Amino acid sequence: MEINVFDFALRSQELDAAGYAFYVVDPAEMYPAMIEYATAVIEANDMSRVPRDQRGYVATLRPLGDLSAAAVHVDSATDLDGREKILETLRLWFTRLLKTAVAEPIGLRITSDDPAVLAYWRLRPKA
Amino acid sequence: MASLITNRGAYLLLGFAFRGTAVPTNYYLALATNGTPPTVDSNLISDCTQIATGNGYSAGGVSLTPGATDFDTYTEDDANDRALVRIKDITFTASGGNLPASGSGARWTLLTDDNATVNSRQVLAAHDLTSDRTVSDGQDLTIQDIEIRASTV
Repeated sequence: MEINVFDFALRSQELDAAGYAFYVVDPAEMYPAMIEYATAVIEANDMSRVPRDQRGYVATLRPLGDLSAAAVHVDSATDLDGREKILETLRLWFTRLLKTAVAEPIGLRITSDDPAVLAYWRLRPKA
Repeated sequence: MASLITNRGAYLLLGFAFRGTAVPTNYYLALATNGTPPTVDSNLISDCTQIATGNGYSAGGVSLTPGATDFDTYTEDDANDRALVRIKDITFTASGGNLPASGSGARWTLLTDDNATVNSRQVLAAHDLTSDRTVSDGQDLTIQDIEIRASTV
């Protein structure tokens, strides 16, 4: 039940003038890693091991069922709401984990050189 | 968490960036009930209903300073064509009784400018806390993951 956010959050530059440390994250790495981590935390079912400021993510995700379903790109309107909620919660959780690990203000760029990857991890298909 | 930037907020933010309008020395994060839910058309804090003051809440809320300390995370999200800035965690501690001291619980946060007259502060953004929140004496109400989002599509 461990995750090392620096496995996929790459430092892109030193602190800028305002004091932010910048990181680049590929959604094709971040989301699957967070799905695996969140699933493990939920299955462990031991909130005492979850930092207080992260318990809300567990509470949000637990009722949503199999988180791995969010790793599948869907176009169906019926599945979009659940997938969006899962992915948004995982992004917030990841951001908090990274911010905690860095211990400085952070700038984060979620991106990929591959447009297909960006489209795949989009919360909702473009109209 | 549902959130919105008000039309006034979008106008002000563009003014700060391109018109050269002076950025407020401070922003404020206020708490509001669902009595008059904020909408994109909300202009002033008086258009909404702040929670009752006292027991750990002062009219207008808490001060935020522009910069890395209080706005501690910036995100550029190419997958979703948007940019986000997140406010640090804000904690209100109930002291002397329930927070809010009376009336309905906190349902919304309001990000405002710093006009000296609280009711005249302009609302830039609002965030839905999804239910009325009340904490008892000595307990904390911690607001986390408040993000201001600019979408490009």
